[in-house]
Amino acid sequence: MRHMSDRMDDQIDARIRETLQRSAPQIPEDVSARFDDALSEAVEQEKIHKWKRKWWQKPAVASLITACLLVFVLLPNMNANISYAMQELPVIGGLIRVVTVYKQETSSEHHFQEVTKPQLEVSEESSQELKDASKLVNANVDARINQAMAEFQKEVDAYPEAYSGMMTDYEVVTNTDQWFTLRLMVYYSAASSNTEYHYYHIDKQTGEMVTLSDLFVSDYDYVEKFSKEVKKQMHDRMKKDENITYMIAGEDDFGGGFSAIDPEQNFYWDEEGNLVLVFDKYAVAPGYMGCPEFTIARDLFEKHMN
Amino acid sequence: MPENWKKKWFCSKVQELKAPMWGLAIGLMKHPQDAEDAIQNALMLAYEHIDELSFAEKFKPWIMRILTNECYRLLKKRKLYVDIDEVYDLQDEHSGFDEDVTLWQVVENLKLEYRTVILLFYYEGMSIRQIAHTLDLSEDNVKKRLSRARGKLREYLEKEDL
Repeated sequence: MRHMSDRMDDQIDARIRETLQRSAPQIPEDVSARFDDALSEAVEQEKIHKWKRKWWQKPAVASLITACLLVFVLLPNMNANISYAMQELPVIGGLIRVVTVYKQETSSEHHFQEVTKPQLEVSEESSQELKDASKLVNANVDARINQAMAEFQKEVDAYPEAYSGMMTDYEVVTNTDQWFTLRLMVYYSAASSNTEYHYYHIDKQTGEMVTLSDLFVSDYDYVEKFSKEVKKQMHDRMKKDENITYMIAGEDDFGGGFSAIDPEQNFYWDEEGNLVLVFDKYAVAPGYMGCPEFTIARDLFEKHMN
Repeated sequence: MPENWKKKWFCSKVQELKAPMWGLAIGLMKHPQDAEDAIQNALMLAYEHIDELSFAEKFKPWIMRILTNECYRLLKKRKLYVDIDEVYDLQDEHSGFDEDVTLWQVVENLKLEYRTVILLFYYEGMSIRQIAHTLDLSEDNVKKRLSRARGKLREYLEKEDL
């Protein structure tokens, strides 16, 4: 009996659903236009004062949505121009330049993907070491991007109806005579979002690609020293601001949490020559904290560098 | 996190939900200007908090929750919360529908607590669990409200069949 009444309920539900959809008010055109304006304002985070809060009192602003659509449509055809324009940028450090390769830009009803791939180029007269190092960075970047695309494709295949997106981008973080650092960002948004930063460094003095473990003399236990420092900074920040939460192993109920840095932890140099350690989103803190960073003052490790 | 991509992603997601967001806002607020206000505030809020979108949550229920809460906040602020303009109470004996009344109008005239669950369940296609989360109610409570409101709508459909 229960099944029968369930079935009847289902039928009624289906009819209500359908009748309600049919009688629902359509969004009027003028409202729709103001909706777009409100959306643009929201993403531009314009501070709207109370007295001019009614968006229909504002002149229509160029809709970002239109801009988005244009970008999607035009980019594939503009590849050659973009690459050309990138080449006109000043040469980095006199030796390395970064060229953007727009490899792929696709969007469909439920998914979109925008892959921006950087490639390092070094001048002809560079040392063999530097040429090799830039090739190595390129290979690493390639591998990381291919992996991200494959992971995203898996997600799309598994959940074709779910909205998801994936994007990669990059930034040159450091550009001095001594040092070159490239940051590759991989941003996923499936049912959720995740951000990964990957740093690639070249020591221009030696012309070699460098990771964290290459920086210090072998008898300096940087993992232990830096982990202690990171933990101390986590505690200090949580004490100062109750909105800040870090997950520290053995200190709360989260399970897991931070115990020590990875020997090859992501890092970059700040302008004062301090070392900034970067953690992945969700690795040591809840998602809203983003990718947490901790600065290790240079006096702590300076004497122990290679 | 790349800001420009966040913008694009957010815009594309919201564009897909323009019609259902408008339906929910107008259904709850009833007055177009109030509905527009609610949507504008909800978009601002949503974008400010986009990083908090957690793993398990999908975009649609997330933004619908923000919009629902914003509608409630505005209704409360404007003291429209009391059922001054609620025509049909579920308890009253008023069962005659005007001939040209649509189901949507019937829903619009339900008390806010019923109107909300009906719109979220039938119009937005959200699950009982998502609605419970949105309204901060127990699932049982949502089911109770839904089944009581469903009676009213069934009455309408039966009248329509005659």
